[in-house]
Amino acid sequence: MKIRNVLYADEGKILTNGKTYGIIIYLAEGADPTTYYEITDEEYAAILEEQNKEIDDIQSLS
Amino acid sequence: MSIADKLATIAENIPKVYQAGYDKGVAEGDDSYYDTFWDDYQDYGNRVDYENAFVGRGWTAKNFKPKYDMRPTGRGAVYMFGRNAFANDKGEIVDLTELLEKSGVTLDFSNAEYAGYAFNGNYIKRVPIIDGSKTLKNLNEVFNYAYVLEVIDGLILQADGSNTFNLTFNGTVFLREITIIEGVIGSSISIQSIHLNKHTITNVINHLSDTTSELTASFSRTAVNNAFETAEGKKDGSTSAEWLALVATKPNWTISLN
Repeated sequence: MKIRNVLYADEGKILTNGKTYGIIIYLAEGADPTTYYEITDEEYAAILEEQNKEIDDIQSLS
Repeated sequence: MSIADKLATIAENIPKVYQAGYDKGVAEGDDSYYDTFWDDYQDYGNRVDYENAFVGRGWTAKNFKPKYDMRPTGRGAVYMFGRNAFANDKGEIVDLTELLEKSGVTLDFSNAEYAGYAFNGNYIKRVPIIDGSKTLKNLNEVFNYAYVLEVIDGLILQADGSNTFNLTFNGTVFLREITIIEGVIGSSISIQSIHLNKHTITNVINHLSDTTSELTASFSRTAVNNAFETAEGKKDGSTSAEWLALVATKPNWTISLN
C-alpha cells in the first residue's frame, strides 16, 4: 500500500520543510509529512525578500 | 516629333531620371549603413559572445534588425537582452519572436552552456523556443526577473531530465504560457505566475520525470484555481477532480501550490 499525503496550511500560514513552500502540498508517495511545519505569511515574505536580495547582490556584481 | 518637341520631352524627363537615380542611391546608401553596422556588430555572423549585446534603452523595435542568425556559445547569452532592453517612453512591449522573424534571423541558445538573466528586466513579452537539449543543460536564471514576459514559445529539454531550473522563472509575474515542452523535467521547478494557463500547467506536469525522487514542482494556487475551475465555474480548481487526477499521475513528485 502506498500513501500520498496532502498537507493544507492554516489561514495566514505557509507550509515548509525548509526547501519547499506552499499553502497546499501534495507530498510524493512515501514522503514524510512530519518534516513539514508552518510559518507565518510574514515570515515567508521575509524569506522571499532575503532570497531576492541575494539575487540582486549577484546581479550587481555582473 | 520636331526638335522643339524632343527638347521639351528631354527637359521633362531630366528630373524623373534624377529622382530615380537619387532614390536608388538613397536605398543603396541605407543598405550600406545597415550592412556596415550589423556586419561589424555580429562579426559577419561569426559572433558567439552576445553577453550584454542588447542591453539598455537604446535598443528599440525599430533599430533591432540583426542581419545574421545568433548562436551564442559558452556564457555568450548571459544578459543578452537584459536591463531595460526595448524600454521606451510609450510603454510598448515587444514580441521578440516577431522581430526576429521580420529580420529573417533565428536566436538559438542550444550551443550555449549558461544563459542566466538573458531576458532580465527587459520589455519583451514573447520569446522564441529555448533549446536546452544540447549543451544548454543549465537553465538556471534564464528568465529571472523577465517582468513582462507572457509567452515562451517553447522549451526543448534533455531526454534524460538533466536540465536544472534554479530560479529559472523567478519574477516572471505575467508568464501565461509555455507553448511547447519537449523532453523531461528531472529537477525541481517553480513557476509562480498567477496567470499561468491550464495548457502550460498540464504540460509541465506531464513532462515531469517518472523516475526521479525527492523533487518538487511548484505553482501558484491562484493559477491552478483559475485554470481548473470546477463545473460550477468557481475559481477553485485546486479542488477539482481534473486537477487531482493530474497530480496523481506523478506520485514520485511533491507538488506545492503557493
